[in-house]
Amino acid sequence: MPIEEGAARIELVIEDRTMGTWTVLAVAGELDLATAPGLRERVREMTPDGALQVALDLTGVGFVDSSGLGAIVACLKHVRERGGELVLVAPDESPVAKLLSLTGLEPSIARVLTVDDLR
Amino acid sequence: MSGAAVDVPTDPRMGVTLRAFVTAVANDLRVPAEQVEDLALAVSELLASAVEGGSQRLRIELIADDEGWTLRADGIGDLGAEPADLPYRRVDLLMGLFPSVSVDGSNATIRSTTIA
Repeated sequence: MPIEEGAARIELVIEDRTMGTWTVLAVAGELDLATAPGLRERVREMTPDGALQVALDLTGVGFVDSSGLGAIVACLKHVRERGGELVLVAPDESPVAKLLSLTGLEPSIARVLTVDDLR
Repeated sequence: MSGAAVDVPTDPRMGVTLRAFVTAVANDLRVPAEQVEDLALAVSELLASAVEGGSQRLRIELIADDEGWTLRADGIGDLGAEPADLPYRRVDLLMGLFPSVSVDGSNATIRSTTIA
């Protein structure tokens, strides 16, 4: 079955809000080669007045692959290079938690289970 | 023997299509649920490898026989390359998902003897 055009598309939706000192980016959709650049750009565009404290809320991400994980790591590097802090919000059974475990990167990236854990 | 194949241009936006395809076929072939999720991840990695490796098209075939299922991918690019910003190779991730994966040039095969 050859397919030429008309690929299904799932947009990545990113909404931001503030929780105390944290900027929470709530991400929804699928994080793959097509959508990962959007996350990377969104974090690079952040210009906070104070310290850069970013929580990536991935609770709404139903799928993530290496391209998505690479974007998360790129965001982490960007924030750390500016003296900031980045934390993932993702439950243990989430796709990103599974991929972090599978790739051995779990110890490298701080993760909390819910946004309430940021308080 | 039953199953299906799909042939797509190596466009990053094809990830959704490929994951939906392999999920539907795997469910139809009664592949165990935990392997269906891993197959979706595997085809996403294969597509990314194909895109980054400069392949023009990627063909994915998933078939089942009495002993299990086989996924064949043609046009996979370089699975030995590391994804951007990550310290592992895509082939290592695939082997973590399916230890039976074998790569021969631009082709990859995953075989499992598990059928529900």
